[in-house]
Amino acid sequence: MPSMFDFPFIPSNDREADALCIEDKFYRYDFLFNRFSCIMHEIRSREMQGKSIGLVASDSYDTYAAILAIWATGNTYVPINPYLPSDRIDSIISQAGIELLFYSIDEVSLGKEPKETLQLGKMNTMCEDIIAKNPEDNDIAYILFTSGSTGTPKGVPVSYGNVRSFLRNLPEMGYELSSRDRFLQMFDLSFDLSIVSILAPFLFKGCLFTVPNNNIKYTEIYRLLEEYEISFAIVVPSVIAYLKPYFEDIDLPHMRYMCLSGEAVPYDLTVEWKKCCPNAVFQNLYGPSEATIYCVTYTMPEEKIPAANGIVCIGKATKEIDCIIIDENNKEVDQGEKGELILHGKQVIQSYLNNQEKDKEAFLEFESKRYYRSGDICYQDENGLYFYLGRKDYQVKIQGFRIELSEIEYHLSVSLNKQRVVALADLDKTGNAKIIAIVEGKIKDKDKLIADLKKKMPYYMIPSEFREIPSFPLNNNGKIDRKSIQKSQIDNEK
Amino acid sequence: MEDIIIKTRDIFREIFNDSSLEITREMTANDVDKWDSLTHLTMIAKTEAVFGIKFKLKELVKMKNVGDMLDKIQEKL
Repeated sequence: MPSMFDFPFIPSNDREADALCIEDKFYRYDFLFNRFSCIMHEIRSREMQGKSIGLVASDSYDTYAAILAIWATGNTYVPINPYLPSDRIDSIISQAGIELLFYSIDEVSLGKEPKETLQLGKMNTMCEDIIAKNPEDNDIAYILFTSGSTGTPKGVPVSYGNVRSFLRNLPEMGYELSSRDRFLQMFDLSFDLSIVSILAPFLFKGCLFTVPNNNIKYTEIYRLLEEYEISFAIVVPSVIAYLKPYFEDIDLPHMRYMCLSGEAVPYDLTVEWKKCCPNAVFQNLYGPSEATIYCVTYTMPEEKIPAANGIVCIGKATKEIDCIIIDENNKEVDQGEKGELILHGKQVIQSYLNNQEKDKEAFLEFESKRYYRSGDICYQDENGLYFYLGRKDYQVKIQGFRIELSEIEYHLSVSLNKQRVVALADLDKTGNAKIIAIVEGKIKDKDKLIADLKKKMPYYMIPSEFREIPSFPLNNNGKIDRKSIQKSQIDNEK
Repeated sequence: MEDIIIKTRDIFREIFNDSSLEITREMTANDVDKWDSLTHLTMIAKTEAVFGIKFKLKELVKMKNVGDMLDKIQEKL
């Protein structure tokens, strides 16, 4: 078992063991270590510490070496996806104050350039005396950007102390993992489940398998799980849902830990999927990015998995987190009553990135402690287990990405010259979430609209369907009656 | 094979909502705008129905482009 308190850490320099497998090519730990130390040298030669370093995410060994090097030099890792619209990339670069940007793809097109960009394939191969910095708990380890309701991405800065707190929970998760284990990393790097999917293999000195960035991930994920006998995987349930028609053909006896996360975990799907992974411990990992990766966890029993409304129980808080459920008046509810789950503890971030308005909305003082409002409606049963029931606002998850429907409405309305728009979430035929845009009046040119939206929002936020209605119904307060639109456009069609 | 190509092209045109879409043997999901996990699943189901065949998951995994798919359809007919 590695020392869980060492974060950041220096990766192993083992000449024998595989560290990474990318597109069926293996890279050993000594190779990763060498790339890591060269990147450390690049950072140190610039005398950078406590600075934001951008990293253009790509499926390459240098991406992973760079993340470890940014941390080991006590800097802040900011992932940037090259497929994002350039407005969004510009906003991330300027909000995070990125001066140095690493990339390992051939070229990267940016609107506003940061002060310096460095192609990692072209860097000096000078190596450093390897001593990791020991950043303060308050120093920021990474900043992730999520959908913001005002149309601008919202930065979630997670500190070294937050990550250390998260890692202190690992022993009680009961993982018996070693260098023989093989770990799946299926996540987009802007998604915080990628952080644990990267930390776990390198802490246990096992091998990390990446999933190539192509449009159809589920067949590739299945191939990796099967062909390479992956033993530890964190996956979003929507990927598993795509495999459902083929469950009869799937047998993964080498899977030891199957962790479902990033979305509500459907009970029926889990029961069926368990048969495909007969020797695996199944876990549900719950938590918003603001409470560092996951903070409420559940190891499922072999049979009779507790669930509410078809969603598997999320379990109990980690030892670093206090959970309370409150009502609309910010009073704690009685056990068994539903309300909003609020979170306190060292895993919870201090504040959003330069966004006092959002801080006021998302944090509250409760019994002289600062709590983060998850926005998730939950209840706790008589055994102390928490159950997730749904969202209290208009946030939805598409392929695990957190999306504010109001952000989609904002961009649509701007593109449609202030026509009114309601964005709704519905389920597609595999049971995964999709977005439907309801527009008041006619859409003059749908192709142009979609082209416009692609310049403003990432692909997973583009509605999969557009509908027109002549005029929106209003409620008693004169506001758009979303419930009635939801009922007529979605519920009545089922 | 000609018949398989025309029928497959028509399936692609319907699923990806593009009446002028032409398919080539080298074409992959990265070449077609709306070809993602969901449309892939729909396209496979439609192909299975049109040709009266059934793909195994291991066969889907091995199909790297449209050419692989056309060959697999021909093999199964």
